[in-house]
Amino acid sequence: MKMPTAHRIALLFNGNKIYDRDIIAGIAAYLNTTRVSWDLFLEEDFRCRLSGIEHWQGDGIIADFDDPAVCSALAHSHVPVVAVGGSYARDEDYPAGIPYVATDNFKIVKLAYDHLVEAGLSRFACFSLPEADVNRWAQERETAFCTLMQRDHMQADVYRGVATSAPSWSDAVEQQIAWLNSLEKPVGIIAVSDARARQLLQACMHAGIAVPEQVALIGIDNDPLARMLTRIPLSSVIQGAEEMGRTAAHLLHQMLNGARLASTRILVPPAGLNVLASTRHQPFQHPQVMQARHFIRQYACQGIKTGQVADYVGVSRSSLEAYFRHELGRSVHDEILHFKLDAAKTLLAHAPGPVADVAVRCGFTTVQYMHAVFKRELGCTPREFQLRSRQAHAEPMAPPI
Amino acid sequence: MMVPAGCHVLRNGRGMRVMVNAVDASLAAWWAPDRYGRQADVLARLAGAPASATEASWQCEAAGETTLALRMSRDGLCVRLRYRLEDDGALRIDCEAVALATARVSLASPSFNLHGGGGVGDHVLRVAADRYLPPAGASVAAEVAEVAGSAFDFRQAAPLGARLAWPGVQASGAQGFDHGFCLRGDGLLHEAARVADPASGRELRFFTTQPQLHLHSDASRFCLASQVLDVPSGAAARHTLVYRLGVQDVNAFEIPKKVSML
Repeated sequence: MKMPTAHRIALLFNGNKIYDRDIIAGIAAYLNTTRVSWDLFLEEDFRCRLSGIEHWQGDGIIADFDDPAVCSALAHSHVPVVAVGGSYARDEDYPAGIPYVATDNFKIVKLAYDHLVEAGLSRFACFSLPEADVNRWAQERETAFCTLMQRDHMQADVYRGVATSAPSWSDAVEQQIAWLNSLEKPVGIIAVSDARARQLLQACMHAGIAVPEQVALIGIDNDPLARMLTRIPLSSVIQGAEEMGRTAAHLLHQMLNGARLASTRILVPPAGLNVLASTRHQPFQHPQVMQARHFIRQYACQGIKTGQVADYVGVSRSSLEAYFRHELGRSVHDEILHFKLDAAKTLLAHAPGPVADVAVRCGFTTVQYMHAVFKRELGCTPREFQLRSRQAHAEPMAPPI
Repeated sequence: MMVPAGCHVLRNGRGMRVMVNAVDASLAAWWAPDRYGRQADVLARLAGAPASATEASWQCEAAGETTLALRMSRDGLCVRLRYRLEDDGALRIDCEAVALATARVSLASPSFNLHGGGGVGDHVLRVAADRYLPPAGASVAAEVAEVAGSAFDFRQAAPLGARLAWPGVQASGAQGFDHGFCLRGDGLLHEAARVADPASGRELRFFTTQPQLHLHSDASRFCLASQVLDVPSGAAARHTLVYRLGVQDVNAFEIPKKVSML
């Protein structure tokens, strides 16, 4: 039996971003399921070592071609290279003669846009990044947005903002707020990344703009960090990054076996949509109800009471109750409880921690009270809910033979 | 809703409706909600070879709000089908066949488009199979192959269209899948495949008691087909299939429901 040869493969990715990490995870998954044996070379700061890469004594490279420095360093590589990066609207923007695995920028933006349309919005804008060599993907997403707006005979409102640096931080936020204020509401905004969406969400909070009632916001990447850092859970498009990794590994595997794939280009569509509060837009809401819900969404878990909501909105408790009954068919207290219950469900489903901690974090005065709410609304105890959702998440599909 | 003659509509408690053609024992329509609660018919007709059993005429034995029983009897072969639509979106189909002499039964398998129209290239598929069967060539019989390292490794979810773009897959000129997948095959009902449409959020889960499933697809539809059922002489053969339609990650998108005051 012929023993498999261990190839020396370099992975040139920026491992501190969720997108790159998922690609690397996809490559690893491919290797784990096949008998392919690769010695992987991964650098934490690969850009420092990029200059000598053409003299590297390896067998193959999979690299992030969103970075122009990588493109030029690998243009004349003597070892097989598989490029991974964003898709381009124009054919000539792809590197020539190198197989390319792309995240489909057009389909990503289209998924976000279609979702905002379904959420009931009819005005749209795009929050992009200042043009730079290293974020051509952002320009591609912007272009995709403009193409869709043109197709649907709408005005494309794109804001690139400024590159944020510590000294100009507050300026940047001021400008974002000015842009947000200039938009006719309600508006659905697609941010080119979750990081960008998070910044805009923060600007909305500063400016007292209700999300999602006035601004419905969706990002790209489904980055858990961005979700963790926002008070209002952020909707996001999930890229097919793991599949990109598997595909890139497969292409390199074929090339190491002698296949010529220079003209191969595979576009991977987005894998899904994580719909959370930032796009749960409900059109035609009563302005005071809208403001109240905005406040409740942010502070429900800190144990607020109806009186505080009424104070925030600037109306009497009885008027606010009347508006709520009329608009939503429930009381302000019910609404607060609903948000607390939702938050508790999310925490229980994703964290193994004790139920008592969840009760405290979600603003329930006692564990017993949370217990009673769960029993009544969901027919189970918080503990049962936690166990059930963990079972559902563990291994949803029976393992193969 | 117009119900054509010979068709029967099953309904569950959540407003889902499945129309079964009781004449040829096929599914005629399936209205299922997307993540926005909007209903669409997710069935698409795939021009498949009509099977022996489906040519015969079926009789309705019993019909209710959520259940339907059909029976077909011909040349010493008797097949019973029971359909049941559950509140969780599962359509369970139990098939039982008895024959005086060895016989084969193949049932019409539904084709889906989870978006309710358009392409299925961006649908993502998972199949619990370590091995697959390529389509048989003109001269060579198909041989079972490992999915590992191939475009047919769907043990993790992958988009149909992008997988067809992998090198070598379309060398045969195929515009879609026409492949068998080897399943666990212990005769128990287990989940064999899952397909999701990221745009609508609809998700189809496929459970079977059979050891194999066949994936057909083209640009606008896909079909998770059950195997031909071999009925031994003088004995009964059974199998059960479940198609369960739901919405992806319900946890992440919940229609706010009324919360009563304590």
